[in-house]
Amino acid sequence: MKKIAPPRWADIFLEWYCSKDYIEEVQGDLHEWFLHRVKRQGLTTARLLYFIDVIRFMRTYRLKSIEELSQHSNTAAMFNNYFITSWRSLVKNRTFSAINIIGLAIGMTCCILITLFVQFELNYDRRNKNADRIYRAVVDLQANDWAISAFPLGALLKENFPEVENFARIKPVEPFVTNEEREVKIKQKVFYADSAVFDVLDIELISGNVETALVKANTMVLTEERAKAFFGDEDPMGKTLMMEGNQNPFVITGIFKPLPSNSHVHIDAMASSLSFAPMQPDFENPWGYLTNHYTYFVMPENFDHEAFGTKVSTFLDEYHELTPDDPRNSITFQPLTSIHLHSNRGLEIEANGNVNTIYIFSAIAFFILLIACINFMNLSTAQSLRRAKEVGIRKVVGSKKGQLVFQFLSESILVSIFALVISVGLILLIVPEFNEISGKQLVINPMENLQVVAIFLGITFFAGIFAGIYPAFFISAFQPVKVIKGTYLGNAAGQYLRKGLVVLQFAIAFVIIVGTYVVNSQLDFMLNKNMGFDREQTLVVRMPSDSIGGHMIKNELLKLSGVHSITRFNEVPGKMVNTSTVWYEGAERDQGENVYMFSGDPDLPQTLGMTMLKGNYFTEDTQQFYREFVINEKAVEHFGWTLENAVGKLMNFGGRSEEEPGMVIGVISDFHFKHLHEVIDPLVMYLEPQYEGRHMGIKINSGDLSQTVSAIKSRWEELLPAYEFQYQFLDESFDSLFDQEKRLGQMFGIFAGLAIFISCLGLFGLAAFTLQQKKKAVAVRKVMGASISSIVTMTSKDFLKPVVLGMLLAAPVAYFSMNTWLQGFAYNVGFNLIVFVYALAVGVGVALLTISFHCFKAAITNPVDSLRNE
Amino acid sequence: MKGTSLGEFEELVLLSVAVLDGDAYGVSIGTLIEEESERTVTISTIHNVLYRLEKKGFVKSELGGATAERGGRNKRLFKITTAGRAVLEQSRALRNKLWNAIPQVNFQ
Repeated sequence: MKKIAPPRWADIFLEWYCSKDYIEEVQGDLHEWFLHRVKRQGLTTARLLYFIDVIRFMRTYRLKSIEELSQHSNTAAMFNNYFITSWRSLVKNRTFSAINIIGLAIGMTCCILITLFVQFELNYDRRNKNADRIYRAVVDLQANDWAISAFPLGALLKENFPEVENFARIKPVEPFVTNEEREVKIKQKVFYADSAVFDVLDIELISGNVETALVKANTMVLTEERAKAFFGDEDPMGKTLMMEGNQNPFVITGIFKPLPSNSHVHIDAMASSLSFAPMQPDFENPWGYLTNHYTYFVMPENFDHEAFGTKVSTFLDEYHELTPDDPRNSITFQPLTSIHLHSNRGLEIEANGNVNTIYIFSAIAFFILLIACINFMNLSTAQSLRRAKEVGIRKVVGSKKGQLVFQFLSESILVSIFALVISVGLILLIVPEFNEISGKQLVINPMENLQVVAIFLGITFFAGIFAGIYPAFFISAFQPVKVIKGTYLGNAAGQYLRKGLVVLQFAIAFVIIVGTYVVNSQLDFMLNKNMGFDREQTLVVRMPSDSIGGHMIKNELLKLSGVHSITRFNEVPGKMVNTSTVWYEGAERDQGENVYMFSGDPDLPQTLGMTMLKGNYFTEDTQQFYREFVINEKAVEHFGWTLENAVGKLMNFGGRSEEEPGMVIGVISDFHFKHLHEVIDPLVMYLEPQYEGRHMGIKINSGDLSQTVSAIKSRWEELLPAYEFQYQFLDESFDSLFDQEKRLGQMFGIFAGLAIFISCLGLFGLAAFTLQQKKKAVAVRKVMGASISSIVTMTSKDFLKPVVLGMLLAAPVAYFSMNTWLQGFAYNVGFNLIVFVYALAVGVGVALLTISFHCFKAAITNPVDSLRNE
Repeated sequence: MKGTSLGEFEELVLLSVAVLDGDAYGVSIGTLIEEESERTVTISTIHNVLYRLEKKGFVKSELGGATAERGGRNKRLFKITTAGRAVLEQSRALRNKLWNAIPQVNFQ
């Protein structure tokens, strides 16, 4: 049987919240009332109602007050006291508190932002359920290292190596895709993919069956968003799409969820691999055809992928029955999660990130936070005199040093929590912008990204403790006797340290400014570098892939008045990836060597402004297709020839051919046919009879560019009504290669600005404080006859010294680090020492502006005002 | 006049304090109102009203009268003040005046 008593837990709750002024009467009445209820309504109801009554009694005036709460324990009372004194000192020195909080808020915002960015970058492809077991096979050829692999590799390895659990291949193409019914025509990136792709790349189907969706030829799956673009609100399942270059329609067999934004590949349409001839198992000579095609393997846990790469390479050598003269196979397996940051090969699916960017930004984040923390240290120690009496009294009353350290630490944490509030607001504002500039999709919603909370709190406490630890020890070391007697006048060591910290701040800011300058000048250099060909006013047009006579179009367009000249070529200069094996006279091996190949018609040198060094370029009447070669300077050197003897040397596609080998007819001057990140490699050029499905370069006479472009467009539409006129300016397509560098440059600029701003904020505070202290000294000087300018000079000099010193000390660091960065580019602008002058001018200029306000104020104040209150 | 007007429930509580004469506290007032008016009351409401009345100066209180039922806890005993009595008289007078003004015809 239950005891007739109100529920104990309700009573505990009541005792917890209710102030002692009210508890007695309230609890007494409630108990009495409870007994009264038990008689009328029964025990259970009464107990329930008791609790409801307890809640009803919860009025603000009955709650325990802060004082009452803190009376419970000594610690709480101390906390309360710390809080009050901290708050008072913050409010009393509004300017300095604001400088501290704003500086820390900006520093923390940068730091949080960059941490989020780094977190995003490090988590690439980690959401794949088998992230640690997936490897991409990539191939090294003599000419370059590629991110691609041969079509039959996957099946061959699965058959011969039991450790291969599964594999999937993807091959991107970018044709026009049409829905004839609704007359939708979109240029769409489509990946031909094996059915296993769902499992290997962890792609989830919203509708359709994973087992069957991509098994049959001419099946296709889309993302919801793409399905909407093609079919509107209709159900896409079972509907069909036509893909340019395919006879049969593709049936939609599934809708899939797109991969997370931090994946090294983004897919929104896939067609079954059986629909693409080279991916079919019975394709003739599949090994001879290497293109942008990627193979992913699922391997067991903790797999030694490096050893497996060697094993597979040897296996392939035997499989292809290579002779000792042939170049060896070299296959590497890259862990999926390392692709984004560590892989920088030719023909990557998308431009990858760079692990160095992560290091650079992490360093910047740390240093900006450091600058903000230094502000805090400087201002707190500078102002410590004001707190000295408080510390003295506390010590006399019996505070231990540890307690005082704790008090000042909690004060700095309080400041950093205020800063956190501001920086959370800033982050919410900035992240969308940041995503725009950096091209990322950072998630700040803690529901989706739990680590956000940890990052925010971690950085806040780090900043609070880091910034507060030195001032805390400094202030708590005051000797009470001196302080209270009033003989304590600050210590010289403290001043040196403050100056030292300013030196450090400006040293950091200096390095970041130099970095910004170097990154941007390198970018400028690459954008304007002489590529060895002329990319101004040149239109690149995609040619139709059916043989409808490239010559005809070329001749027709040449008749237009604004067109200067036209050339057809197989790859866009600046983005070439085509390599092939050639044999050349004097080669060590009979099999020749893999080199970059390029083909442009006889008008190439004239249209793109390339120059011949020796011999001739191909001419209109040559019919020696694939039999005559033009090589670049690098190739001459690489093959061990000289400019004088190169013309006339024998050369051939593929291996050595005894009868009728081809011949070198000319040497062309080097031009950048690949990305500027890379050096110019040997290049062999040949002539082919047609350039179907390739490109046409149209050089336009200076004059009205847009008019000529529209004239070309309308002529094209008359001649080739069935084909879209797709064009790009050569210089634009070139600029887009530098997206990464541009973003880096922009972000660097922003951070440099912030670093300088926070440093100056600290300097501003320090100047304000110091000059206030020196008020009387300045006044006395004025009375003695000092001029305003001499006082301004005197006071400014004091502040500029650490600034200049910091910059001088930082110069070697800046030089070394940026020079290292520049070495990563095959062609760099070089480190121009003039940047030091610029950076110094910016630093000193901004610092001078910052302090001049206070220096002038000090100089023009009437000495009477400063002196009379003695 | 501000602060001197009485709400309906306030008047009821104030009357009960007068009726109980020296033994008025939360529970006794609650029981009295429940018995006389046959309505259910919540003890917290009565407390709140009592504090409001005390603020207005109509009642005064002291602690005392602990019983075993209450686990030895003191009661807060309320007494009506002169101002309290005056405000009751006032509201009664007002009512009487209005009652007398009602023409008889309305009850037919």
